[in-house]
Amino acid sequence: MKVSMPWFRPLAVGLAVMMALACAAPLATAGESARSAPTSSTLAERAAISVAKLKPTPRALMQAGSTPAATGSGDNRPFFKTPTGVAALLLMAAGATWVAVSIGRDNSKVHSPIR
Amino acid sequence: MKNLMKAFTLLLLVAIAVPVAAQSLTGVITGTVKDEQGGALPGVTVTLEGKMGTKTTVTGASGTYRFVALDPGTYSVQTQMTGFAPRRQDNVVVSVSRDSIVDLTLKIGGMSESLSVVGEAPVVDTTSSSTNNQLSQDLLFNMPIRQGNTATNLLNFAPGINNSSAYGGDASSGNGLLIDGVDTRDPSGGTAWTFYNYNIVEEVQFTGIGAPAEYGAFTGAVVNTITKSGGNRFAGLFDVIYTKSSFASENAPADAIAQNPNLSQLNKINKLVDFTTQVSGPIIKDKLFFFASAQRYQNDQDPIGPRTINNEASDRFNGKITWQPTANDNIAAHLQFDNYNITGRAGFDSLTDTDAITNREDAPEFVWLAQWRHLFGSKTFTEVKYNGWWGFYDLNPEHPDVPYHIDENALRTQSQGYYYYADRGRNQVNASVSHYAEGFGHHDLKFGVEIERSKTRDRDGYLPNGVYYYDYGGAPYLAYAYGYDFQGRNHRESAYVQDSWKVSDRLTINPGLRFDHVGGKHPDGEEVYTANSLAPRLGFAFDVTGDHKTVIKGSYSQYYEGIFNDIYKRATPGQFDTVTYDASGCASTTTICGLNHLVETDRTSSTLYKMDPNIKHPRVDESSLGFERALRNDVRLSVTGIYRDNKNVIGSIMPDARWTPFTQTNGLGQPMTLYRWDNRTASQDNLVITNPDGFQFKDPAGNVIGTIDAVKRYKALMFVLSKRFSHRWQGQASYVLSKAYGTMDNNSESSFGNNSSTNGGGGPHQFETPNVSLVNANGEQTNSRRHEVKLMMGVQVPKIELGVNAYFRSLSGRPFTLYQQFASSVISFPPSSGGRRVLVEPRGSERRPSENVLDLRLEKIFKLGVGKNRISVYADITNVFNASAATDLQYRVPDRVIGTETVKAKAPTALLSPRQTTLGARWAF
Repeated sequence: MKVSMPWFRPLAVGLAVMMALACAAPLATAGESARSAPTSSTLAERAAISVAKLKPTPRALMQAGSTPAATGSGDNRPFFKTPTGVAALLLMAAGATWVAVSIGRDNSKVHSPIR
Repeated sequence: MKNLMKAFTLLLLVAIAVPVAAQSLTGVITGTVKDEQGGALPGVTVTLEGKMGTKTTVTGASGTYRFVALDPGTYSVQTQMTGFAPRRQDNVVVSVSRDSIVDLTLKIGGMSESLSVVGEAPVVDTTSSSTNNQLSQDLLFNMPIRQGNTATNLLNFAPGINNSSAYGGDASSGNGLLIDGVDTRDPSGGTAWTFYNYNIVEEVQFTGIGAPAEYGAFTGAVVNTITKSGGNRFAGLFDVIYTKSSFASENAPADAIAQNPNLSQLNKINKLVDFTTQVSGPIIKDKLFFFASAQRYQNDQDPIGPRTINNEASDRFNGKITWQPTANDNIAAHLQFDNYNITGRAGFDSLTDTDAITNREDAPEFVWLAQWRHLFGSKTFTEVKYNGWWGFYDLNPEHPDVPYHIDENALRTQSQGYYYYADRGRNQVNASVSHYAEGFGHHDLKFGVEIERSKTRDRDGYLPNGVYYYDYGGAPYLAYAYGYDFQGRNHRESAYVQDSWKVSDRLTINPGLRFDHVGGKHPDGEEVYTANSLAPRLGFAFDVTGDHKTVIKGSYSQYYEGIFNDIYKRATPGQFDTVTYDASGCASTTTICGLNHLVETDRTSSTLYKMDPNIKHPRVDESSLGFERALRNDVRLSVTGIYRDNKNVIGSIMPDARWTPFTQTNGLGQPMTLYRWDNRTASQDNLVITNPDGFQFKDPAGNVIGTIDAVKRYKALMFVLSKRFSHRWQGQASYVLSKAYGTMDNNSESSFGNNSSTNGGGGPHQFETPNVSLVNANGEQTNSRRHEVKLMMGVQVPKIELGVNAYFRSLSGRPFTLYQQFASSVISFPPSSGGRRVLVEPRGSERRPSENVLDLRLEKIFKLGVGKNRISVYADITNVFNASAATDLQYRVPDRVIGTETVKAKAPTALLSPRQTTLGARWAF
């Protein structure tokens, strides 16, 4: 039985990079997708547009997560260019970096000699 | 660098090539559209709006519509038809395996009118015969319930489940712990292995009463944890909690300390910091979504007893991508890395171990999941899921260069000595096809297959040179060598078919059949364990009032346990010889003594257990009858009666052993009948793993002296009143009257061969000796809470935006039984001390104090604009009343010396954790 996987910890660091990329991808694409005008040709798309025009109830607005369109900022900028988005990106990057750094520090205390 | 490149390449493959994640189980929204006169309206366009976009369908000839394979969450349903005003119903909640019925009545009017329906989907599912409980995102987000390990801790908030024992089942090992629909338990013993962040959980579903055939490999409950996914809306959560020792109270009462002075050094949190950073949203609107989360958990403790350090740290990453390449496809992948470790972990006994007698735990893991869901029109869809995890769990002694030594006063000194290395891997593929058919009513058919492959390895031994030293018996001083290296390969192939047959508008029949083929072997050997099981399920649900608000439901089900290495481990090689040495030649046993100074005096070779070729796999038979009523659109009342009876318990026996009854005065000063093993030499090598129910113990003349009656039963009446979040408050109140009883306990693994010996259960030898399996065996089990009250309530106070959330539980104390560990010279049972632990009173004769605990969260909310964007600060106050009920006692008679203190029988050895305040802050949008 293979018991040693010496690359797993670097993989964790790589995972942090992936998440950074995941955050960066919307930054690069969100603006474009937000500006794209939908072309209505199918029943589903026409219905979707009709639904989007309907005014949700105040209660529906109050319910968390019931309205998918809102980004929290209310403006048309790409999310990660809004103050909310910038703050989220900075916090996410800082948090992920801290966790990634902690992996090495924590492992130095417990590293099992057979691994 | 090479490793890093390999890792990065693999990661890119994961990120790019592998499709990514959503929930592995889904729900349904269905309903009928009618006009004001009650006539069915065919041809109405119905649009469903959720966080990943919209879906559209058209009502059929009978005015019905259906959206299938929906991820759990909140949706809006909208109608559109020429000549009628559009209608919209918001806040339709979809949960896994549930049908949310949304019937709509259209009024004549213009298409341009905007008419919204204020109201919510019914809270009662009138087609399901299972009793389902959920912890919604609202409850998870707001309640002060983030304590301990996520998987098992959340379980205990459900009605009927305490100490991880669900509906009388084995604690912990009896429960299927599913992440996104796939079991992630330890393939060795069935306990939780994969831990995760509370903040990645979207919803937790508890099932197990009347569960359909798609659920298997459990005998307690199934906890299905659905993880969050990204959607069209950008969302984020940044959460940090902090506490320290000065935020805690003292709660050890003077009388408890007088009984057990060790309690004066109770566990304290020196510092706890737990933060989460989390973002999700669209990469391409309606098409591609991401979810990313990072968590750092650090809990530094001054633990109970003389230890001063017990530090736990976890660094976790979660990444998830969901892709909808077409309107009919949903592909998802999720990856978690958890770097989990502990320093200062007690090696033997948390009450007495010093810092020297501790170990360091190194336990990282990866968990991965890939899922593809495809809709073939509106009636058929398929789901394919692949889940796996890999991890190890190593315990290395704090001082690996110093041997383990028991001194002349029986005190452990110097070092823990032993190491323990556990390797695990588990892979599972689940595939299913769901199809909605017409014919003699409506059918919701589901066919599925599951394939599991898992591997285990457990190594144990002593450092630094393979022996430990034992001076307690005086000269000649001894040394022992003990250890093992077990390996296992489990497999499970399952197939099931189930239907939800709507015989009429009111009556639904839910039949199902599940087949499991399980087995296990050593990787270098033949299969030693195999079992085939056929588990029928049959349930009904009757909509009493016809308005989807009142239902009577009932079910009969058989649930077979999962496959675990501990079932067959003793029938595979791996146990090393136990060797006794005379260590008199050592200059000192407190330092390393060369093996050349040790003189071997005894060697016990391990004996392989035989496996009964006709062995049957453990299962539980369950009958339930329930009533549910929607009191309002957001309030549900349910009453459920449950009866469970365990079958096919597995254990080991010694068919050739002969026993002589004799009378012995026990530690309570009472005479009791015990049994002495008379023919040890002649019978000790014939060991069989089987279903011991019905096995007869015999005396030397061959006369039957007793028969094993392996009974584990549970009966309960459960009341649940729940209100989901609306009008700024939510709550759930439950009361369960229950009893778990039988001739064996319901601790972890007791159904398949390891009944905790700390309660006189005999450990893996419970059925080998009549002293454990016959004497005082019948009664109430350890995890039997006669009365259980759980109250959860959360209120968002308007104007001041203060959240007040409380969780109160009042539980009958758990039963206990005093036991005595007799010397092997008395009952001649040397294989283990556990097999000499005999109950000296009927099982469950006594009960620990009841537990009444209130946890509270106060949260001040600062709203930022519209929607969900808000910052809040909060305080969690656990055990507000600083209750101090004993949760564990000294069960052994006569009185026992623990460390330097004499602890009397029934003296408390553990108390409820004292009041602790934890501060938190979070920003959510």
